[in-house]
Amino acid sequence: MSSKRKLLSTLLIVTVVLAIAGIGTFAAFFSETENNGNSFAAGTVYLSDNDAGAALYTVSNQKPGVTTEKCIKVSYGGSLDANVELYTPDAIAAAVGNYVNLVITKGTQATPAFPTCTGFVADAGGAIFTNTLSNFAATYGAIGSGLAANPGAATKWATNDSIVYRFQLTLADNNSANAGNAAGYASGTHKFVWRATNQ
Amino acid sequence: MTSSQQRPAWWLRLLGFGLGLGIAAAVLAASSVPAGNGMARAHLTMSAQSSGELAFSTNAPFLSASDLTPRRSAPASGTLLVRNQTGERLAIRLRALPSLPDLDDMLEVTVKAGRRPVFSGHLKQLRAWTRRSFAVGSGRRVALEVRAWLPADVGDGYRGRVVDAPIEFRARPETS
Repeated sequence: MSSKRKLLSTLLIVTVVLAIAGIGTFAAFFSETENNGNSFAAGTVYLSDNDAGAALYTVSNQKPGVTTEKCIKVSYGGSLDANVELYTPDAIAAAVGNYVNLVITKGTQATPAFPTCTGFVADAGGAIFTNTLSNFAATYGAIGSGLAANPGAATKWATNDSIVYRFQLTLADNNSANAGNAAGYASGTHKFVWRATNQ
Repeated sequence: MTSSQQRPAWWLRLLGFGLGLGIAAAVLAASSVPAGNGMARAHLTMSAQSSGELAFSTNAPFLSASDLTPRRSAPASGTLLVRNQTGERLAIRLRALPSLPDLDDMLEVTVKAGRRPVFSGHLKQLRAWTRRSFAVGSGRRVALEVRAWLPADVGDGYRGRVVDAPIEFRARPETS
C-alpha cells in the first residue's frame, strides 16, 4: 500500500470515528408538552331599554286621585352576570313630589310596546317601591344606592334577561299640591337611570 | 494470516435487497398521514345581539351552516322575527360583527326584511351599517331573512374556517 493510500485510509477512519463519537455526544432523549390555542377576551356589560328616546311619562294638568300607569322594558345583553340598580340623579320639586305617590312593580310583558302596560304580569312579591316621588329621589338618588331588582326569582342578571318595570303615579288628594291661582306645581324634568355592574 | 471471503449467492443478495425494500415501504406507509376527503367546509353562525328597542324570535343562532362550500347548490339561510317593542315607528339598520375576517371577502350575503332588500354583498361590506333601513311600526314585527353562500370561484381560503357573526341592530324613530 502506498503512503498516499495509507494517509487517505487513516483520514477516512479518523473521520468515521469522529462522526460516530459526535453522534454519541449530541444524541439525547427528549420530551415536550404543549399548551395550544391561548387567547384572551374581555367580558361585557350592556344594558338597554325600549323607550327609543321617549319619556316614560309626561303628565300635565293632572287631577288628584288619578293614576298614570306606564311600563318600560330593560334588557341585559352583556356576557357577564350583573347587578342592576335604578336611581334618579335629579332633584324633584317637593311642592308636587311630596304628593305624587309612586309605585314601582317589576314583572314581564309578552308583547311590550313602550310605554303601555298591556299584558303586564307582576312578579311575585308585589311592588319593589311604594312611597312618594320625592322619597324615591331622596332614597335612590345616587350610583351605588339605587333600587336593586333581579328578573323573577333570580339573584343576578344574565345575558338576555329583562325586566318590565311598571310605574304607577298618583297625585294625592291633598290641597297642598294645589297652586291655586298660580301655575300648577311641577316636579321638574327628571330621569331614571338603570345601571348594570358586573358581579 | 490469510483469509478468504466468499460472496453470498446472487439469489440471497436479491432476497436481502427485496426484504429491505419491503421494510422501508412498510415504514413509509405506516408513517404517512391518512388522507382526508378533501372537503373541509366553512362554518358560519349568525345570531341577533340584544337590543332594548327590539325583541327577537330567538336569542340562539338563527342561521347555522356547517357545510359551506363553493360547490354547495343552495345557500345557507335563516329567518329571524324582529319585533318593535317601542312606542315609535322605527327605522332599523344592521351590521355584522364577524369573529374572524377569514370569510370577509368570500362570503356573499343577502338580507331581506319581508320583501324589502336591505343588503347584498360581501360579508366584509356588512361590517358597516347597511345603507338601506327597514321600518317597523310600534308593536309590529317583520321577518328578516339572511342568505349566505360561497361563490364557485373562491379559492381554498374558506376551508375549515369557523366564523360567528353576531348581527347588531340600530333602531331610530322614523322621521316623517
